[in-house]
Amino acid sequence: MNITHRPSDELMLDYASGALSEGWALAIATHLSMCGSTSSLLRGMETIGGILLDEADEACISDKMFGSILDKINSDMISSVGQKKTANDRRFGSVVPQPLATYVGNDLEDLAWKNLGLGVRHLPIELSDKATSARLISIPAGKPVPEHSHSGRELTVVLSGGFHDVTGEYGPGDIQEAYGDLEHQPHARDAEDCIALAITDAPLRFSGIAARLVQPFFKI
Amino acid sequence: MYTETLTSTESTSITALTAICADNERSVVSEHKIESSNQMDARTATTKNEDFKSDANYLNSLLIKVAVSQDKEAFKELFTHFAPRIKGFFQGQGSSSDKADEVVQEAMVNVWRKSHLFDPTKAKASTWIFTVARNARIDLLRKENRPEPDFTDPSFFTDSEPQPDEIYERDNEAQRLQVVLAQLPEEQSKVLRLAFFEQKAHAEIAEELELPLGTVKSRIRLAFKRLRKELGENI
Repeated sequence: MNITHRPSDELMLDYASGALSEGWALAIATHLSMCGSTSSLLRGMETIGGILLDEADEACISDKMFGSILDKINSDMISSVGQKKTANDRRFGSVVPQPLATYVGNDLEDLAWKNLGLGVRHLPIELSDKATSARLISIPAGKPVPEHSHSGRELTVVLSGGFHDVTGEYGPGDIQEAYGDLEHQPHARDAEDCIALAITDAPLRFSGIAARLVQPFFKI
Repeated sequence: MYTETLTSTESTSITALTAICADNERSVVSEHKIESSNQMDARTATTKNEDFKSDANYLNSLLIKVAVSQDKEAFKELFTHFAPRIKGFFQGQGSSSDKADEVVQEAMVNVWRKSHLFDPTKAKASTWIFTVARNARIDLLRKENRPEPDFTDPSFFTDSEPQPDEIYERDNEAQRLQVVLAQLPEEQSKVLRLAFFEQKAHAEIAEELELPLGTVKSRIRLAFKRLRKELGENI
């Protein structure tokens, strides 16, 4: 995969430290599934976490704790017989990376897409994290999403097809990190529909008249 | 990039683990070689590791024993080494001793339960245990899922199989990172420590330190510009 857009170091540090909430982490994990280079950076960051753990001051641990841990794992050993995890049954060629498949399944065509108007479809994704909202979005080949800006942060990971806007060209695996200062109008590539995962923490602000005529966009 | 929720096959870890147990002495020897070829400041930073008991390979071998033979003696040694450190690591401002104890307990139970996912070709024991403890903390304090990539998924992740030598390469890399980390300017290292110890996002760190967001971002980027050079890959 020819990936040219990766998350910023500060966003990756937030992911590595565990500070990112579920929605953002879903975007990063999906990108990581497709990008060896970002994965290497994560490995380095986690190694630093391990070094800091090695160097951490040793705090006092109660004598009883090991006993209660043993009780827990002993009860595991009795109850876990036959609970081996089975290999997942993803179909070869599916475009849904595993962290995302946990939420939406493996088949993008089999989803309950909802029309947003102008040929754009979306599929809201349920998260336990209420601070962000997640959705898959499908833009018809060659068509745009109405021009909009952001009040907060928007992470977009391309799953198939691609899009371009004022910041550049995005293909499968690429992640776009957009903040309040970006006003853009993503256009799907001509050859195929663009399917992407989009995470936001505030409603988008649509600037053109087209979107204002199409009510569902207001809810994004 | 090692994450505890990998669904890696047990056989990979076991093979690698057996290699580590058998080659324990050899790797200790090779580590000495590494040390002598490093600069003087590397020596200072690795002093801690000279004690055999805290040697990375020794800790790896304990974790492998837990994975392969559910060895409770080895697990107890891991507990004795890591539990006080996990507690110390997370006992930053704001989290009480009780909460920290809960995180330690949950983390160590998960170390036992998930030990078969530990792969020494991908991470050292302390790196892997860091990821387990980090996730335990997210689980307990935020009650959220943490989406993670599955690096064993062949249709997306096409890395070649790690070679046995990569175990030693990982150790070298960790040692080099440790040296660089010790050399980072205080203002950069402070930001990294706040991020890891307190699980604070960079925006929260900026608030806590009363710094402009851009300043915190640039400190993180400068730190990783330096640390990247030690990762030896095109990242």
